[in-house]
Parts: sequence; structure tokens; C-alpha cells
Amino acid sequence: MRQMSILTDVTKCIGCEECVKACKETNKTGEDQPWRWQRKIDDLSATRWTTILPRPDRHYVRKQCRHCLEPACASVCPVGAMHKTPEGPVVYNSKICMGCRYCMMACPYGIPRYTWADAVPYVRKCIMCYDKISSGELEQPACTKACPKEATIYGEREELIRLAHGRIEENPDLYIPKVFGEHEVGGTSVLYLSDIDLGFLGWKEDLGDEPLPMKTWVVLNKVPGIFVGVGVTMFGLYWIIDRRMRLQEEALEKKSASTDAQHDPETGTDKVEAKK
Amino acid sequence: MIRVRFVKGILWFLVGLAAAVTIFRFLKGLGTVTALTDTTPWGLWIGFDVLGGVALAAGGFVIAATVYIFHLKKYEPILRPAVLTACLGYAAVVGGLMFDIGIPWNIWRPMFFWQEHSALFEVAWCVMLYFTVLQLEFLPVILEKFKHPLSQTAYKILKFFTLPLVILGIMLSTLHQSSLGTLFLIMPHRLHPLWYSPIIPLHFFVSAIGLGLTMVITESLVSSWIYKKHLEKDLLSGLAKAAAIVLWAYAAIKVADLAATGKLHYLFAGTWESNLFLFELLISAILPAALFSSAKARQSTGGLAAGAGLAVFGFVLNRIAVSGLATISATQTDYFPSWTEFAISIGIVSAAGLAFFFLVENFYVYDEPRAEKRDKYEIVSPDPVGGIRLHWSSLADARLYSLLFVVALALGIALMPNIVTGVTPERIEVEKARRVDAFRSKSDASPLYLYALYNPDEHDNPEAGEVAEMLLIDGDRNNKFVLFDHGTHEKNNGGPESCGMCHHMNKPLDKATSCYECHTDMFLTTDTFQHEYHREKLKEQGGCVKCHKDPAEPKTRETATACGECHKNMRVPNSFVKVEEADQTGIAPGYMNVMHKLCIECHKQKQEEKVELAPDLARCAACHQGLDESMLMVVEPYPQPQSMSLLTQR
Ligand code: SF4
Ligand code: SF4
Ligand code: SF4
Repeated sequence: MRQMSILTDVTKCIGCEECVKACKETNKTGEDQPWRWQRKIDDLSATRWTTILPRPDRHYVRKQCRHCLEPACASVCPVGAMHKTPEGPVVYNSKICMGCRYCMMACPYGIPRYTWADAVPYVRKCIMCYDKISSGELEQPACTKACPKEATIYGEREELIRLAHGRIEENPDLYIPKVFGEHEVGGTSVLYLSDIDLGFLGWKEDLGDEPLPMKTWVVLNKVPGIFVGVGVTMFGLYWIIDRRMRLQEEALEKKSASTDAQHDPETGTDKVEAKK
Repeated sequence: MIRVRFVKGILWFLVGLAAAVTIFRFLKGLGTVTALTDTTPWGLWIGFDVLGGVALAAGGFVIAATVYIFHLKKYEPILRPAVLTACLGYAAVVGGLMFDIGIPWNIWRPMFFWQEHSALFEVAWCVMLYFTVLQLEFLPVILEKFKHPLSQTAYKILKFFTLPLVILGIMLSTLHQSSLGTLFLIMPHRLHPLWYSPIIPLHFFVSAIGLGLTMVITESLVSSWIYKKHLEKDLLSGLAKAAAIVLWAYAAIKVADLAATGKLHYLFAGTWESNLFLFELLISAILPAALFSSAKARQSTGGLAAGAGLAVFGFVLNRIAVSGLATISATQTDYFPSWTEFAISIGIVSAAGLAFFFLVENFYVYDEPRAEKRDKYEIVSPDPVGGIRLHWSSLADARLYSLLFVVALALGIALMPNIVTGVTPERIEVEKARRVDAFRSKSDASPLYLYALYNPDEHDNPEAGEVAEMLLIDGDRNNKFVLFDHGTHEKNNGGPESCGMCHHMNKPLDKATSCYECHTDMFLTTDTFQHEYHREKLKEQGGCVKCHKDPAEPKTRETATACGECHKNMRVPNSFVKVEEADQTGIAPGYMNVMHKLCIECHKQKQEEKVELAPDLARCAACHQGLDESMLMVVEPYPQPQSMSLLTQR
């Protein structure tokens, strides 16, 4: 399956925020408000799915969901409300979301936002205009279409990676020789070319190349084994101890001719139910 | 029984307070009653109610295993209270979850939308199943009280399945206690390295056993204090002995894990995380373990209470650290629970406490009726252990409790923030519009005003122009101001009556209408559009309708074809105006500045392309007609304004 992607070239972005505007209009996200729960008014929010982060020396970095190839947010969702589509975008189904906000905790880039102000709140993030593109309403995401500088473009992931490496080769002095998102956390569908380091986009400078869901899966796949193992062990222990105690009792009974059952106060009371 | 009444009174009060918050939680949503943020989406309710609650409930499976699997029958007297505590603990967890998750009526969904790769999915199933198992384990205590044959049959069936239920409970608990740790495996980027570990599920499991043991001790101590009943001290010291072993093991695992992953240097780094970690390890494991290792301390009520109290507090702190405190360094945001969050957490625990009292007072929780050959169907009201008559159903007590409840409810409602509106956006600290004075003059060449900052020395200089009242507006709160000529706006819009055009538009949160509401095309070329010129040029091609396509529409700029539709690539590279971080002056570029930046680049480019056709395209006079010949030079991008020291001084 072709994985659709977005490539953003930080060196080309002039920070005009046309993409932000286009996204807001296309997805009808509503007006930005200075809510208490966001760090800055122009950071991502439930009403702002992409934003421009100004960095020193005229650098503008567009922030949006990375549409990870192995998304942490989708892997942790206990109901599958957040899920990866075969075409690439990671999308959200508000109908089945139960609002546990595990996706918000798990995302290494801190992308999903919440409509905290609503009595019935939902998770919000960029969905790569999946609904509009699959219905044919749009050919490409609103943001890439709106960009006047072609600083952010839409295309097939392999092609974009090739294109990005081509640009680095052409201009090796300008770029950091790396396509951001090619390998990080197992690869992302939103790629960046840049002349400044983009580590600040994640919670940690270096997130590593291992897909995050693997970290949970190595434990979770042992769950059935552990479950059965504990059960067997417990029953085994019960059986062994029970048998030993019975033998002991019998030996005791033989030894002392007195047949007083209540003689042992430790086991007396529960004999009926435990041995059934 | 003053103690019982006193404790119950307090609990009813706390439940009343929580009830008030509950109303607003479900009416107004999470934003109103919690201090959670987008960067800290899990808070006290997850950290304390869910993670802490599950851990505190660990006593149930630990004692069940002790009694049924290891055949240590002498612990049987504390089995029922332990199972009851666990059962109520899980009820509290489910209650806490109902508050915390955004859409609680979807809580059943994990049952049908299987997501086996999600740790929370596993947690959900374990909560569900284990809560059921705990209820089944406890149900016989209730059933035995009723004579009805149905109840007796059910009792016998459940008793028959005791062992499978206990084993199933242990299996589920093992998974569940550890899977709460698994929840955090996917967040190495959030959790501080001291807490993050690939074996964090094991940490959680071992600590749950330790906590289960110490919790049973605590609970026995508390209930013996409240009911003034005999303390099974030898039992408790036996538990304490086991707890010591588990706690030492826990501390050893923690430290060994740090050593194995090369993280020991974090331990004494002196950061507040390292201090918190050491503090937590000390009070949750090392101190209680040391205390419980001494036989003397184990035999004394004080020693038991100190050790168990420390461990319980320490482990709850551990859960809160993992779910919140240890993530602060990564997210760089602080979060402190609101009082409403505390009210809910405490209220849930209080409700569980009341349920505990009710069950203890009306059923044989603290002893086995069969052994005592008492009439097992007698509905007791005296406490079966202390033999003291309880006043659960006395009218005076009911009146007292409901009074306390109602008072707390009213108090809670009165204290609720944003009681009517729900949450409101926070004032992000902004510089208010600041008043400054400037000289305003109009040159003959341009319809625009020119401004110079007011300088008292020039006050009498006629060239400087009139003194005008200006506002410095920082609309987007980025510490860059727009110079706003209030007087001219007022004058041009029709004098004092025009205030309402900008102010009091009854838009939410709007103090004054934003500039762009009127200047809709601020970002595009505005007055540089030469209407006459275009009309002349397009006469052949149809004239007006070339741009004003729809005859039904009024002929305004808004309804006309946009410039870009004919002039493709109007916006050439670098022609956008964006205030650069590097050369901040505190003042946003003015209109003139903006127009220059928008137009000049294109003019320069076009000049290069068609030098023959338009030799003067990149000269100032191309736009500024009537300028002095000496100004006929090739333009350079307009220089940034110099430091506006005068403006900022005021
Ligand atoms: S960036 Fe975050 S929200 Fe987007 S797909 Fe990756 S994990 Fe999910
Ligand atoms: S908040 Fe919704 S989308 Fe996110 S993990 Fe929970 S159920 Fe899934
Ligand atoms: S892809 Fe669509 S949803 Fe995502 S930022 Fe662009 S416009 Fe917004």
C-alpha cells in the first residue's frame, strides 16, 4: 500500500501561517482561545492542529501530527478509536473514544489535544485531511495546498524520501544530512528537511529508532503465558501443600490414638470448604 | 461509640463535598473541575484513585493466597476484611475511572473492541474480571445472612468454587498489578530515567505485594481503633515479617535494576527527582523493612503502625510519582490538583469507608459465625466483635449524617469555580494596550499619516506635526506592538458615535474588535491596487465583469476576483512580512514597512526581468509619485525601525 506523506522543508518556510489558516478553515476547528491548559496560545490546541513554531534566525518549523508508521497513540488506544489507516494517516473516531487520554500520554511528540472545555470532550489532532481526501473533496491536505512556498508538500512516502535525499545532495552545505522522520520511532509519515536540529519537536531530544509500541508488546505478548503460569503454579502449590499437610495429619492421627479433629486449630475451621 | 459516629460524620461530610463536585464534573466537563492540561492529561485521579487504589487493594489476593494456597489458616480471621477492602478498593477504582475518563458511558467498549496491543485494554479487562471475582469471593458473607433457600443454594455454590475463584483472583491480580506498570512502558520519553525501566511491571507487582501486606496491617489497626476491638497482634506481626522480606526484595530489585541499566549516577545527582526517588524508596521500602525486621517493633502497636503507615504512604507516592511527578522534567509543565480533584478522590475513599462500616456492622466480616455456633441468621446490630450496640439505624444519627452531607453539598456548590459558565479561558498575561503620544503629520505626497515619536524638545517645532494619542496594541501577545492611531480611527469612522464599531460587539471574550475584522485584506495588497489602471487595461476583455463576475453581487473588493487568480505567482520569494525573532524592536512593522516588504521584492525581480520595458520599476518613484529626483534610486529592503526607546520608556 502506498503510504502518503508530507515533507516539510524548514529552510523554505517563511512562517506565513497560511497552512494554519487553511487547516482551520478546512477542518472547521473553531477559534483559538487562551485556555489555561495550553502552554501558549499559538501552540497546538484542540482548535489548532498545525502551528508554526518560530525558532531563532528566521526559522519557522511547522508542528503537526507525525503520522508515525507505528503510532504509539493508536497502539495504546484500548478501543481502537485512534487508528492507523492503510493509506498512512493516523485518524480518530470520536464515536468510540472513551476519553482515557492514554493516547495523549503515549505520543512522543505530545500531539493529541483535548477539548477540555466541553462536557463531552474529544481528542483532536491533525488527521492528514483523511476524510476529505478519501471522499475526493480534496486532492491533497489543505495545508500543503495552501503553502505559497511549497515548503510543505504532499506525496508518496518513498518518493518524498528520495526527493529529500536529493535536496540534501544538491545542497549539502545547507541541510543537516538527515531526513527527520525517516527512522525515528520506526519512521513517521510527516518528514522534515532542516538546517537546524528538530529535537525540540519531541518530548526528548533523541527518541530512538525503535517503534514505541514494541516496548509494550514485549511484555504484553507474555501475558497469556504469565496468566496460565500463575494459575498452574498456584494450583500446584496448593496441591503440594495440601497433600503434605494431609500426610502430616494422618501421621499425627496414627501416632496419637486420640481422634480429636479439633485438635489442630490451624486447619480445623476451613477443612470443609478448602478440600471440596 | 462516639468514635464511630465521629468518623462517620466526617466521611459523610466529605462525600457531600464530592457530590457537589460530581454534579459539575458531569455538567460542565473536566476542564471546569480539574487542573489537567494538554501536556499533563493524567492527574490525581489516575495517580491516586486508579493506580493507588488498585495497589491498596492488593491485600485481597495476598491474604487469599496466604490462607488458601499456603494453608496458613491462622490468617483466616483477617481474610474477610482483606477481601472486603480489596472489593471496595476496586469499586473505588471503577468510581475514579468514571470521573476521569472523558466519556464514561463508553467505558464498556474495551469489551467489544479488542485491542490486545494496548496495556490499558489489559488493565480494563483485569479490573472488570477481578472486580467480579472479588464480589463473588465476598458474596457468601452476604448470602449466609439470608434464610431464603435461593440464597442458601447460591452460598453453597460459591463456597464450592472458593478455590478456583481464589486462584483466578491471584492470576488476575498478578496481571493487573503489573499491567499498571506496563502502562508506562511506552513512555520512556516522559518518565524520568529513575522511574522508567523495562521491568517496571515487576516493580509494580512486587510493590503491590508489599503494599497489600502493609495495607492489611493498617486496616486492622484502624478498625480496631475505631471499634475498640481486640487487635490480632500476633497475626499482624506475622504479616509484618513477610512484609519485611518483600520490601527488602523490592528495594533490592529497584537498586539492582538501576545498576544494571547504568542509571546509578542519577541517584545522587542532587536534582529534585533524585531526592524524590530516594525519599520514596526510603519511606516505602527501606524504613518499614528495617522496622519490620526487628521483632520488637513488630510486636508493638506503634511499630506496626509506623511501618505500615510509611509503606502505604510511600507506595501511593510512588504511583503518583510514576503517573505524574516523574514526567515534569520532560514536559516542563507543572500541575497541581485542584481542590475539586482532591474532593473527588477523598470523597470516593470516604464512600468506600462508609460502605465498609455498613458491611462490617451488618454482616459477619470479622468472624466466622459457623465456628461460634451462633444463630447465623440473626440480623445483628451489635458489632459481632466488640459486642457493642451500634446505632446505624438510629434516627438521630441519620439526621446528623444527612445534615452534614447537605451542608457539605451546599458548601461544595458555593465553592465551585465557574459555577454557571463552566470553564473560561485564562487570561494569558498580556501587556494591555499602552497609551503613548506621537507626532502626526501628513505629507502632501501621500494620503497616509507619518508618525514620529513624541519628543518634548520638539514640542514647539511646527514641522513635527500635531501631537496624537496613540495606543500600542499587542494583539497576539508576542510582545510586539502595533502603533494604533486611536484619534484618527475615531475621526474617520464618524466621531464619538463610532465607538461601537470596534468596542462592545458582544463577541465572546472580545474587548475590542481585532484590526482584521475591518481591514479584511490587511495581508494582501490593498491601496496599491490601481482600479483605474485595471479598468483601462481590461476594457477590451470585458471591463468590469472581468473581475466583478457576478452581476448580482455588490461591486466591492470582497466579491471581486482575487488578484492572484490572474497574476499567478504574485507573491515572490521573501515578499512576506514576518517580524523576525532576531531583530525584535518591540514594535510590529508599520503599514509603510509592510507595504514596502510586500511590494519591493517583486518590483526588484520584475525590474531584472524587463529592464527595457520598465526601467523605473524598482525605484521609489514608481509608487511614490512626485518624489524628489534625488530619491530616484534603486530601493533596498526597508530598514528595520531603530530602537524605539522613547516608546518603551513611557
Ligand atoms: S505523532 Fe503522536 S499523535 Fe501523531 S501518529 Fe505519532 S504518536 Fe500518534
Ligand atoms: S482518549 Fe480516546 S482515542 Fe485516546 S486512547 Fe483513550 S479511547 Fe483511544
Ligand atoms: S493535513 Fe489536514 S488536518 Fe493535518 S494539518 Fe494539514 S490541513 Fe490540518
